[in-house]
Amino acid sequence: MRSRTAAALLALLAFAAAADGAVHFRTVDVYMNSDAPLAAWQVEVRYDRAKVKIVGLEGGEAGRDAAWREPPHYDRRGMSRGRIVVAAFVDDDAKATTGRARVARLHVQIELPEGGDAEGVIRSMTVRLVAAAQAGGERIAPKVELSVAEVALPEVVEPRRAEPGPVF
Amino acid sequence: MPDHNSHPDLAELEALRTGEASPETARHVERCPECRAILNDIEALAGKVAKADTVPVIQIPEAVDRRMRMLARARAAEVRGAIDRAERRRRILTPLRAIAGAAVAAAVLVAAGVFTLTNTRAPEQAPLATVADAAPNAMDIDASGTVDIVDAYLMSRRLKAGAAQSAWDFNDDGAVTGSDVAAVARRAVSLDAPDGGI
Repeated sequence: MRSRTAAALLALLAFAAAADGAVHFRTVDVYMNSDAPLAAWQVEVRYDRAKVKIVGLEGGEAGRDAAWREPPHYDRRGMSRGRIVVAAFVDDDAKATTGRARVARLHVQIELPEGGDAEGVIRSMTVRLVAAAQAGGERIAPKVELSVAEVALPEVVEPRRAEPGPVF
Repeated sequence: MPDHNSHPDLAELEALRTGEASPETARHVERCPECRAILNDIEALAGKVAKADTVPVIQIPEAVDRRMRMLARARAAEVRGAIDRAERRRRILTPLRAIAGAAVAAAVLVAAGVFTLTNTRAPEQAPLATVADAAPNAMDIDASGTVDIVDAYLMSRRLKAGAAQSAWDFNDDGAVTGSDVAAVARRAVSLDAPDGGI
């Protein structure tokens, strides 16, 4: 009960925060570019914890047979601490990918004063390769990059007030 | 630790969906129809988001919305009760009702802040920390000096090839399975380590 009421209170605080400034949502993709068949990868993403929260993390390329479709491994605590380590591996070497592939997608929430530069905050995010292996297990060093996805969630500036909904 | 009378919150249900929830949460949801229904809604929502080429405005599932409203109303009732009690005390202590009202508001804000701090699960207490404490050297499958995702990958390959070692039973369940591989992967990404890994 306590944790549930805490969740409700946090929701209230989120509404209050949205009313004070602008909350932006962006989708940031992690890409790997490997000459060898990529079978495992691990990266570290850093961001400004004062402005950014990771609110969702999902797999990369869509499609039933895509290697990185499933959500990667990560520590949930990293979603708000300014640093998150993300990793995944294929369960079948035949799925290992060569060339440039989207391996993960991060949904980030940026909270700024009205008129703040959300794109600048996104550009300040960094990614670093921690480890990677090709099919068979030999370690490799593919290129890794972050890219703001074309798709983005709608801007949320004002909480809904006129529509019927939760009564706090 | 959730029991049937203390439902896991939405974050814990989402953790269950992604395979990161504690066994206690999983057991609770198994026998709690209400939580299973909400979990189903979350899975459906996640499925829609994953499939969408462009993300539409998301409709909050009715069950989730209903629970949030219920929790918010319960919390609002608690706050109203606290305000009423505080106001009664203030009226006895001082005739200056305006000053008393401001003080009550301040007290409620402070109480809310303390409530938040004391009722939000500390990250250090997350289940991942337990995994992170488990035998890191044994998890370093390729003896590279670091536990990272390559170790989980190699362990998975060897497990599939029937070459598992008994030392890899990291969850002490008497068998080396995919759960032990997942334990290595969780260790690899744990924030307790400087680089993920050890």
